[in-house]
Amino acid sequence: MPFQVALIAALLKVALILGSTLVVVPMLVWLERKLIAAFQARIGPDRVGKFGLLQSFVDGIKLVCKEEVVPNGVDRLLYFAGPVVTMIPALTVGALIPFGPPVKIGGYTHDLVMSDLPVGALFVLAITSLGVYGIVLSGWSSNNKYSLLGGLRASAQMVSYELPMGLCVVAALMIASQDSPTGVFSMRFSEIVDAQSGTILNWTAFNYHFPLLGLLAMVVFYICGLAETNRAPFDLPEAETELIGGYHTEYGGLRWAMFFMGEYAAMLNVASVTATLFLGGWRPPYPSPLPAGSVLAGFEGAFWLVFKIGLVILLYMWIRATLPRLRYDQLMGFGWKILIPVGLLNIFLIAGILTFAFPEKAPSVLVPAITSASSRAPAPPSMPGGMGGIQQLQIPGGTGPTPTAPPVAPSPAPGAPGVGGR
Amino acid sequence: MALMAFGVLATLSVISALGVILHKSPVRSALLLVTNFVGLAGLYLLQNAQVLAVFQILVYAGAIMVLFLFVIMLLNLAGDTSPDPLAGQKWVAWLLGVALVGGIGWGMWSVAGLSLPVSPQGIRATAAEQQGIQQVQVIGFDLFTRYVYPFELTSVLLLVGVIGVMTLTRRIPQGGSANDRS
Repeated sequence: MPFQVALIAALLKVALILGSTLVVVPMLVWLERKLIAAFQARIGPDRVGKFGLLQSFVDGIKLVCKEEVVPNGVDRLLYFAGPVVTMIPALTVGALIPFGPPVKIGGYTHDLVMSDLPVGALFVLAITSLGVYGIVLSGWSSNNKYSLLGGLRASAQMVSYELPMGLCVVAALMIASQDSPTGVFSMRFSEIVDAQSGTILNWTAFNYHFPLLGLLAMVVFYICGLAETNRAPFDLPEAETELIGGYHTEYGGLRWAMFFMGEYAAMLNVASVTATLFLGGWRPPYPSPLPAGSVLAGFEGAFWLVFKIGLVILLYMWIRATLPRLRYDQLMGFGWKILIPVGLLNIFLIAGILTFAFPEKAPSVLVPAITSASSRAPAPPSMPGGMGGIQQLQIPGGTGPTPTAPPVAPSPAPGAPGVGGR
Repeated sequence: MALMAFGVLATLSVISALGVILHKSPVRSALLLVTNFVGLAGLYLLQNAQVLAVFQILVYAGAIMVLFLFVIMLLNLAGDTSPDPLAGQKWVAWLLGVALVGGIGWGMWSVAGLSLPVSPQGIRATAAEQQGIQQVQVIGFDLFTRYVYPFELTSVLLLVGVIGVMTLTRRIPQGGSANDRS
């Protein structure tokens, strides 16, 4: 692919991802207000535009036009940095989500993902964990005790709920490793989605090899997602009945709008990661009849991803309308005493199924990637340590937990990376 | 290109590291430490160690520093001006710091002399190393085979720390032992 084509494709993808995030957020605000109104037997916004559809845009214009009031005694640098720091991670995650199969346009194959990192799943966790800085900094710099309390709550809550979230990502990766076409444990989002191809029973959440375990991982992940995005019933950092507005009490106008946008963008991120890790990503729930590589198949993939994200987000709003806010000790107890043990137990069960139900695959989860890596790039014998794994693997007998598995010779996997073991 | 990126990231890391110890405000110091971690993660990325870079952000910037900030905010430390509780620690720290830098410098000099920064073999990993270090599988395999004892010992150390904190902070009710608490 010539450089110009790649550049244009990349710019188009950036515009698509950023643009859709920024356009979808006001729509989500409208949808949430309408839905909550319906749940509470009210009408909701209906003055501006058909069904009040333009309400969010009007609100946005109002916020932009408002006077910016900066209270006395704030730490100016951090006060202004807070909303920006909130927005950056929220807008980054979208770059990693594959939104369709590779399509052929003008003779070139384009992957429908901005950046398919080999450590994608970890990167998402890392980026979302940075989102807390915006909240903590704005809470601290506002020189207001309610803001400070909100910031304190946010930091403790987010650090606590990151752990079970990570455990659920591990569970999802383990399930995906069993079904992946390459037979290799991978953190690359495109490979995780490929592992879920087929029907709905191949999706991680409903995987028929791991009945209910995938679903359990998804539910725990989802609950942690609620806490990470400060959504009800975990909206303690901004609990308006206790803390006025929490960390954004002292913000108004455009800066407050950035917090608001950041929260909805974070919802969108959690929903898209949930859909990608657990609900098959862009994979339709049936074997797609469309020819691979066609533009139509690309649209089909994008449709299904948006559909799944929509379902997950509807659940967000439903939960907000249903559940009251937790108390702080309940929040901490729930995270540490229930979610983390459940997440750990889930990993144990999945590992048990992987080891005992697929004994021929259990070593293959690890070994082929490493042997193919070492056969592609043979390690020089005089290497000063650090690559012990590769050298050690070529010793027969030390390869895997099953004694019946043949010792891995350095000769297999001559072709494509990681196809051994199948 | 890589050398330019290295220059920018290294400068960022060094300046933010200096800021950590020189800045008066604890919150700013903590934030500069976060900046330093991000710079280090960038340096790891330059060495193709993506997994290491992401863990640097995830663990240090995303979890540990948030807890640092939590404590600083909870105690509301704002520019501590009280007299130094350990008189003279500044000068001892300077001495030890200079000794450390001198030791590292001497070690590097004796291994590679002047050729270290310009030789490609000196700063670049070999192809096999790059191949392996990118793969989370390889790191995981090493952790659970070759380095399993250090790895497990570290987790035991953490467990001891957790139990110690639990023991120290546990409230014992009046007129009863700690085991009576439901």
